[in-house]
Amino acid sequence: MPPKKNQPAKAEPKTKADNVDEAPLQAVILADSYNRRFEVLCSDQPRVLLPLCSTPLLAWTLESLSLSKVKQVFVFCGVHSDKIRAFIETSPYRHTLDIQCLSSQTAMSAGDALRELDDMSVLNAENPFILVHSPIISNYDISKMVEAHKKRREEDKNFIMTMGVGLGGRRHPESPIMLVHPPSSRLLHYVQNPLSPSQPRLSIPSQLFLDPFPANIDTYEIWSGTPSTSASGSGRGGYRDLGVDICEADVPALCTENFDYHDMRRHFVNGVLTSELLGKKIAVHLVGKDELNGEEERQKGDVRSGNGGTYVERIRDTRTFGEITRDVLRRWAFPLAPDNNEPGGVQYELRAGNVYIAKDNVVLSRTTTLSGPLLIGPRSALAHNTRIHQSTLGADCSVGPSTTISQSYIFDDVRIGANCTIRECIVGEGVVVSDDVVIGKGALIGNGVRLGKGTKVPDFARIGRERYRGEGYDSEEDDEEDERDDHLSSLGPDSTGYLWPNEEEEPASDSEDEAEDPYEHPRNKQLLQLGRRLSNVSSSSVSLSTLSKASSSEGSIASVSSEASTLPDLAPLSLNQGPREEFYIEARESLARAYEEDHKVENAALEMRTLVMGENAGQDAAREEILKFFLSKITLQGGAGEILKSATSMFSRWGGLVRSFATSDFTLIAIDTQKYCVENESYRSWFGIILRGLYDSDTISEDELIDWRDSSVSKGEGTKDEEEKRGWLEVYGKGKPFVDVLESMESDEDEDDEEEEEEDSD
Amino acid sequence: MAASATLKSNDPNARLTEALCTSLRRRQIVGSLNVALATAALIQNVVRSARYSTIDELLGLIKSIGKKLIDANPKELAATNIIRRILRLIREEYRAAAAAHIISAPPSAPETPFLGPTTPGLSAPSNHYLSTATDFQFFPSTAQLSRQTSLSNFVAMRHSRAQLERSGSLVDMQLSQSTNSLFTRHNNIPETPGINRVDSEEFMKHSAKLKPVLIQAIEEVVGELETTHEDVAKGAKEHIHSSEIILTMGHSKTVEAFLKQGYRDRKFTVVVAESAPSYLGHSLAHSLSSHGIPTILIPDSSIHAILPRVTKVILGAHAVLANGGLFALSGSLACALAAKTHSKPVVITTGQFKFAPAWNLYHDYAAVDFQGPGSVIGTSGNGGGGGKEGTEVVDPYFDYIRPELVQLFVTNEGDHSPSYIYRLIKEAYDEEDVEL
Repeated sequence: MPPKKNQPAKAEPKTKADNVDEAPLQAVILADSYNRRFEVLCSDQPRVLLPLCSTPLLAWTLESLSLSKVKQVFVFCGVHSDKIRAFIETSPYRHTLDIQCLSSQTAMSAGDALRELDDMSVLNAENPFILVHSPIISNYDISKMVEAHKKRREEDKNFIMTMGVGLGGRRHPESPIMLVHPPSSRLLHYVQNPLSPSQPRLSIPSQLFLDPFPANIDTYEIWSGTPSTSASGSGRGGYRDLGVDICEADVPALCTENFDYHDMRRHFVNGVLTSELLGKKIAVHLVGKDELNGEEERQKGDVRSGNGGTYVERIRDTRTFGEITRDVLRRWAFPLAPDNNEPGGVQYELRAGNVYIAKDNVVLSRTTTLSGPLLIGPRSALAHNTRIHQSTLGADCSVGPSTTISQSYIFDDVRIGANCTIRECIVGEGVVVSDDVVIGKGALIGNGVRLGKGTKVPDFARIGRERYRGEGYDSEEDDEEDERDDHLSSLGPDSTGYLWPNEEEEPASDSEDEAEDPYEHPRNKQLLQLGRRLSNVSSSSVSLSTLSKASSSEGSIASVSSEASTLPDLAPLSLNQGPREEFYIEARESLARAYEEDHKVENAALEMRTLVMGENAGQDAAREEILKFFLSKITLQGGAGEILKSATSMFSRWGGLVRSFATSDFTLIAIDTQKYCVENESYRSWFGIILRGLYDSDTISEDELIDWRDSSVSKGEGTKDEEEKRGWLEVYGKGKPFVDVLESMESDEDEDDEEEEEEDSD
Repeated sequence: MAASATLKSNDPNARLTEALCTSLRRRQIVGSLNVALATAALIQNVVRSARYSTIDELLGLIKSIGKKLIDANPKELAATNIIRRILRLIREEYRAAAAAHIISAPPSAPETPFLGPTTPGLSAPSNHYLSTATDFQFFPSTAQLSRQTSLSNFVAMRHSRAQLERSGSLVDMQLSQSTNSLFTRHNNIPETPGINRVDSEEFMKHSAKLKPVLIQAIEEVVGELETTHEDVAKGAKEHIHSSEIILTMGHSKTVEAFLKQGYRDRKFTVVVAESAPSYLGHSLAHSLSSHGIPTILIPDSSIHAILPRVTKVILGAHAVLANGGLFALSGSLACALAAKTHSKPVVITTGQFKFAPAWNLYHDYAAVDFQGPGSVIGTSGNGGGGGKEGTEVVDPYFDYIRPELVQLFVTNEGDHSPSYIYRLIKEAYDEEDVEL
């Protein structure tokens, strides 16, 4: 085809002008999720054909892409590709879009899919294409993103991909943290940040800052999924990854070169960002930003126009399935609203309170209570006293009398009996629910399941028409046979269906790949389920984690067993309750070493200080421990003279060590000594002698001793009971005379000194 | 009628129709005028290129397109209004051509308008052949006179038809059965049926020559649409006095043209309500003030407060219903009610293409076209779609204004009171087309 052939594209879509500017915009939809979140509902149909508001997700996606002026769509199917083909054959979109189904049984990840795409070479190499990871519902014109991408690429050829980022919206367990340079829209770092288990630390590779240090670092921003609560951005939602990428042909090519790229985010994006060899860059496009800047322009256009929206959401899991359904019913995706541009072509009537009732033969009882937003599909019948609350019912459903359905999503052709309670769950196509059934929240009921009378389905249960097939399905045939009986009995005799193991206890799938995906962590996976409350779970998990951090597990155990700890139960919670047991042991050992090996005082002090720092013990504890050690080394045999000699020699050798740990107030040495004597019966009578020893060895000065004598603590103030106070007073009585004597003596000395000085001065 | 006539799916026209339908559905084309123009262009294309052997087939085809368009966006009534108008014009042209064909067998008949013999006293415009031709051919009796005098326009013709029916004329009964049925009438007239067949076959050959006439008629419609604003604005001088204070809201192109035209002769002040959440008032205020008109922009909440100082309320319309009520940008109802409270006149400026032959649309809850909540609570917040979680937002785009709140409609074809709208609608569209 000659490149300058400018014939009207409409007349002959097959011979479109190959002009670079006029090439049709291409989009690739990855129809397979490459995870198992919807598996129980998808046993006989692909995820993209699950009905949201009784219209398949693929139809919503195609409609959203049509709004974005996409002309050619490649649907990349994995399993059930025949169903997808059949759907496309009959959908009205085959007239307006050039849809091609590409199927591959071997592709096990998004990376595989891109490699196969590269092999097929169906994509236009000159032009970027839109890569849609999951089914999307959007009223945003993605072609604006393509334009922005082209503009960026004109400036810098190395931008090979633009990722769509949305601002605002709900928190999602799969929101990433991104380091972005907003003026150039360049993405510098991308971390997956699961909500649970929360990761308190984020590491950003240092080469981003080091060689060379970026001059524009002030303009760097961290975009995370957590809504900002600061005053400036009050009420602003967090940033979220939209799962819509604008990719150059380099992207599939790179995937082919690096066959270990599986996940587009974890492997590809990080691979490209960290590889200096490639030198490729990835940009982010904040959806809605261009509108904010072009305020004037927006004013001119009619706001009703379908291109004005900024709603882009993708169905990733059952949680988002529910959220997006409600958003659609609340008209967030306008003009994609059921009454108005429903891709499935069903006509709905809008009633007050966002209640959508199909125009085709819906039977409502006079006593039916409807509280919106809700949707009832064509030919459905609700018996009397039914209550429907924020739910969707597919086509041809019937609901028995006095049944309550709340926040549930019920697919086509479901029969529900009388007196049932159905809360926050998804009920698949053709399910029969007998009378008096209670379905707990978060339950997923697969297509064709039958629930017998009075069945109670536990919360978050998954029930499939077929037995659960783990990865090692064939080998465990016999085991599962038994399991199957168990499961059947728990569901009741009339039921057909198998209870699947809970998602979080599901064994990790065989590929190590999944295991390392932080989003696939069981705790995070749990949050992806319909009916889980993010606020509860996240807040409690956060507080739990802070608690466990404060009490640093090991210590809590040790201190409980520790005799030194006076408050064993609460000790781990309070940081001021003294050092851990290890400190005392270490300190004793260290002192014993110093004493026996006759270390220098400075070295011993240094060793003690290191220990104090390491254990965050504090000076007081250290001094107490040192005094205790040395006092215990004083020999109490012999008369007072012997003891005085022993004490004096001990403290003249080690007094410096004691003093170096009493820098704030030397009186404390005396008090600690007193305390030791109080606690040890044999020392009580010798306290005065020990004080003298301390004085003689210059460990403590006369003024400090006087201060000790006058302080209230030394007289037993602040002790707990009478007995202890008596002990303190008794010891005090032993020490006081010495100090009194010392004082009088000292004053004499002082006088003498003064006299001497006077003499000297003379 | 060949109402079942539909376009083949591979027909380029079908694709064009589908394209228009989807862009209506996706709200890529909004606003009465834009929709009307797009529809007219589409129908013109269909008339030009579609294959049809009889006029009924063409009419059926156009009707089926109309049905699709109304399904695509039932709130854009202008699309079907235009289709009805075009249908009527086609019928008229066809009647004229067919009549001329019957008079003068040579196939040159349909092209030149003055081929038909002129009747003394007949004041009908040249394209109203039906009257003259048929009269001459088949009604030499007293009926002829009454028809002659009354057939100066289409509506009047229907009158005469009713009279004739009352008088019991068999021929006229048949006429009333099918207004486009010169051939059927032939059938029933005691002549050989062969003539009819010959006639229709022969006429078919000339349908190619009819085509340019039909296309020209549609072009007239388009031309009329394009000049609507100017035509409405022509009367501005008569409606605005000097030093008036005029309240308006939204950004109606008709109101804008009307005020600008009025400002050439009169000096007045305009108060514009900003019209949240679309804030179209901002752009109108900007446009007016850059035109030199003293403009005051107020928030919607002040409408009632400022009304005592206002002397007149001028609003635009989205669609005018047969009962004289109308759909207009949301907030208009507040203006109209406030004006009623303060006894200020409410004037609606609108083109006649917005007149819809329906009156009970406002019974439908969704008729006011609910929008998404994004424009009200923003999309950057924390919660569903970005707004606040748990908040239900109701954002209608239109208000329905009851006829008793409106004093006057200023249209491109004169000024009318609400009670007269039904009459205009009756005149503008063929009765058969009310239901597409």
